[in-house]
This record gives sequence, structure tokens and C-alpha cells, in this order.
Amino acid sequence: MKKLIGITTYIVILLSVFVSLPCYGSQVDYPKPADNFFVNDFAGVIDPDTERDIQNIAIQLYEKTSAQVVVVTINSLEGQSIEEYAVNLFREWGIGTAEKNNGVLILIAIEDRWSRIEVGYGLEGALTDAETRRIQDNYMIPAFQEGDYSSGIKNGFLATVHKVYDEYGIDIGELDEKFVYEPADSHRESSDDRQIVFIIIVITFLIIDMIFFRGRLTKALFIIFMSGGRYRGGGGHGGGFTGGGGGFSRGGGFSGGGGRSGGGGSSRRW
Amino acid sequence: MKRGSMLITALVIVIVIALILIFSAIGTYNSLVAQNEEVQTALSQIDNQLQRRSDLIPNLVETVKGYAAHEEEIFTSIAESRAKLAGATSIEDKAEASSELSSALSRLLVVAENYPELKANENFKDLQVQLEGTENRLAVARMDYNEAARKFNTAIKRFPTVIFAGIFGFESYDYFEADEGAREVPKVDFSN
Repeated sequence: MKKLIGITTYIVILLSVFVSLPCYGSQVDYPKPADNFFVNDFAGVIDPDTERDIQNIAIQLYEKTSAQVVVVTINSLEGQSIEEYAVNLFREWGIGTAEKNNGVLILIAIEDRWSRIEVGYGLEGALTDAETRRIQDNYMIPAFQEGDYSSGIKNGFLATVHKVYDEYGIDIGELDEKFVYEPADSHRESSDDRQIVFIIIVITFLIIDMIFFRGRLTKALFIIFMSGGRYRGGGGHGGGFTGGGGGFSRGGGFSGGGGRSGGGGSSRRW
Repeated sequence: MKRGSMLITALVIVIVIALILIFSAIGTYNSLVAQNEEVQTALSQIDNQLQRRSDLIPNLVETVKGYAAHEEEIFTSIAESRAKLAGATSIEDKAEASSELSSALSRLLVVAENYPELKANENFKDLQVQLEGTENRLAVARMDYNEAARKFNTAIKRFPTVIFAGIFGFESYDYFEADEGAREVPKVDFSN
């Protein structure tokens, strides 16, 4: 009878391998969001004071409305168009909530001299393409032409935030001036918890397997993983594992909520 | 006694395999229905963006005519490809008409380069970014659709799904393919 159970589980595992899909990765490796999520100065052009202000204002906006306005500076688009880069980065980070798609990405590629405001589906009414053009032409591009990235980014960011508050019917005058951001540690704790749960599951599995199946399940799984590697293709960098976690840890740290954009917004050059 | 237990063993194996087949048939059917729905949603997103672009055109053409009335040839080709797109029903026809319209519109923007007053017109600038935004949305919608269609088409050809797909009558989708080059709307640099 034990043998029978062993054979059956083997068949089940084999069948599930047939059904499982390979995972696909994108060609460009997009950067991971910085710890403070809302400001990601990968090009290193924003001064610390501005960075802190943007972060605080973005957090307050997020807490009042659940909308996320994220600033990203990069050096190079790595051969992609800014539109492609923006929509892929937006989706990979999941800016905004998955239900409302209320995210905005302000992307500046310094060396390519491109600026783009990419708008999530849910905010396309508040931030029309024409509106994002005016924000960039009026506040950002003139400053960028003079090399003043900090004030260009901050003013463009503020104009964007105002539009989002308008959309949610919040009067900016009524907001409290207390933009204090205290980094909390709960983000790290929650991911630790998940690791512990995972380890417990693995150990339980191993014990059950050793007692009832004399380790055959583990052996079978091992073989499957070894052969599974070939299906994934050479470049599999495991992107599928990290991408989906967005919605889990909301504690004190910030992350995307799975929001998507569909190419709304506009791009400008300087 | 021994014979009896062997019979039971064989019976259990047959039942287990039958159960696995039934459950995987149900699972496969459900996942195909879900994936099919995804393709349909992506397709309607393309239609939305095609419509949005068509709606933009009269305004854009009017504005350009105000400054460049004699560029008749371009206005005609835009009107023609717009009408052709409106009449297209199959995915293939739509894709072809759409890329014709894209290239006609991009020629319009190139022509606009020759009229400094038009280029400086705020209304024209807005219309231009709206057109670029719509072309970009269309590109994204097309990418999403092709991705969903490719996933679906691969799924129904894969073993063992191919058996169930045949039984349930699922058929593969055409891809929405645009001519390369028609995709890019030329960007106009206002800083010069």
C-alpha cells in the first residue's frame, strides 16, 4: 500500500510538471525601488533636502488618498524608448493600488535628456496627456536646461501632486504641515515572518516524507527541479519570484500595490 | 487472498488516474476560459485606443489646416485610412489600417515642422502630445494583446491541454502586428 501511495504521488508530480508554465523575463533588468520607494535618485542628481521633502509629501499623499507618485532618475534608458522603459518599470514596481491603478511615475533619464510623466489608468482623467505636457514644459524642462534638476523635479512633482489631490477632492490648504516620516521596522519583520513560515513548511514536508515515503518525494522534487532548469531557458534570473510580492508587506516601509499603466502621459526632451 | 489484494491495487490505480484526468480537465477548461477572457479584454483595449485616436483626428486636422491649408494630399490620406480603419473588422485588417493611419499621422507631424507658428501654438502642442499618448497607449495595448494571445495560443498547443482544447473547441488568435516604423510617431523638439 505504501508503494502505491508513492507511485501515485510520483504520477501527480509528473503531471503537474506538464501543466506548469515556464516563466518569462523582460530583456532589460530594471532597478529595484529604493528603500524609501517614492524617491529613487539612481542618477544622483537630487539634493538630500529636496529628496526628503518629496518623500514626505508623497507619503502624506499616499496616506490621504492611496495614490502613489514616484520619482525616478536614471542615467541611461539602455537603448529603450522612454515610453517603453516607463511602462515596464511602472508595472514591475506596481505603482498605485491594483484596484484603482492610481500611480504616477515621473521618470527622468539624465544622459538621454528625456523626461516622462507616466500616468496609471486610474488617474488618466486627472492627469491628461496635455496636462502632463504642461507640467513638464512649465516646471521641469526649463530647469533641466539649466542643469537644475532638484528644483525642476520638485516643482514638477508638486504640480503633479496638486492635480492628484484635486482629483480626490482634497483642498491642499487643509493639509497639515506635519510632513514627518518615521521609518518603521515592521516591513523587515513581516518578511522575516514569511521566511520562518516557509522554513517550517519545508521541515514539516521533509519529516512527513522521511516517515511515510522514505524520502522519495524529496528525491522526485529534486529531479524535477534539475530538469525544470532546462525549460526556463538560460537567462532565467528568477524575476518571477520577486515581482509578485508587492502587495504583502505594507507595514511601515512602502512598496507598490500592483498598479498598472497603459502608456498614458507624455514625454519631453530638453 | 493475494489475487484479491492485487485486484484492489489495480482498481485503486485506475480510480486515481481517472480522478486525475477529470480534475485536470476541469482545471484546464477553467484556466482556458480565464485566459480567453484576458485576450478578449486586451483586444477591446486596442479598440478603445483606436477609437480614441480616430476621435482626436478632426480636431488635429482642423488646427493644422489653419496654418497649412494647402497640404491637401496628407489630409486626404488621413481621411482615407481613417475610413478604412472604421470599416475593418478582422484583427489583420485592423492592424493594417491602423499602421497606415499611424504613418499618415506621422507625416502630418513632419509637415507641421515647417510651420513655426503652428509649432508654437499651445493648442497644437496639446493635440500633438494627445496623439503621441494615444499612439503609445495603442502600442502598449497591442503588446498586452499579443502577449495574452501568445500565452493562450501556446497553452492550447501544449500537451496535455491540446487534447482538452480540441474537445472544448478553443481556437488560436491572430496577432495584432503593425509594420515596424509605423509605430514611432516622430517627436518634435520644441526647445530649438
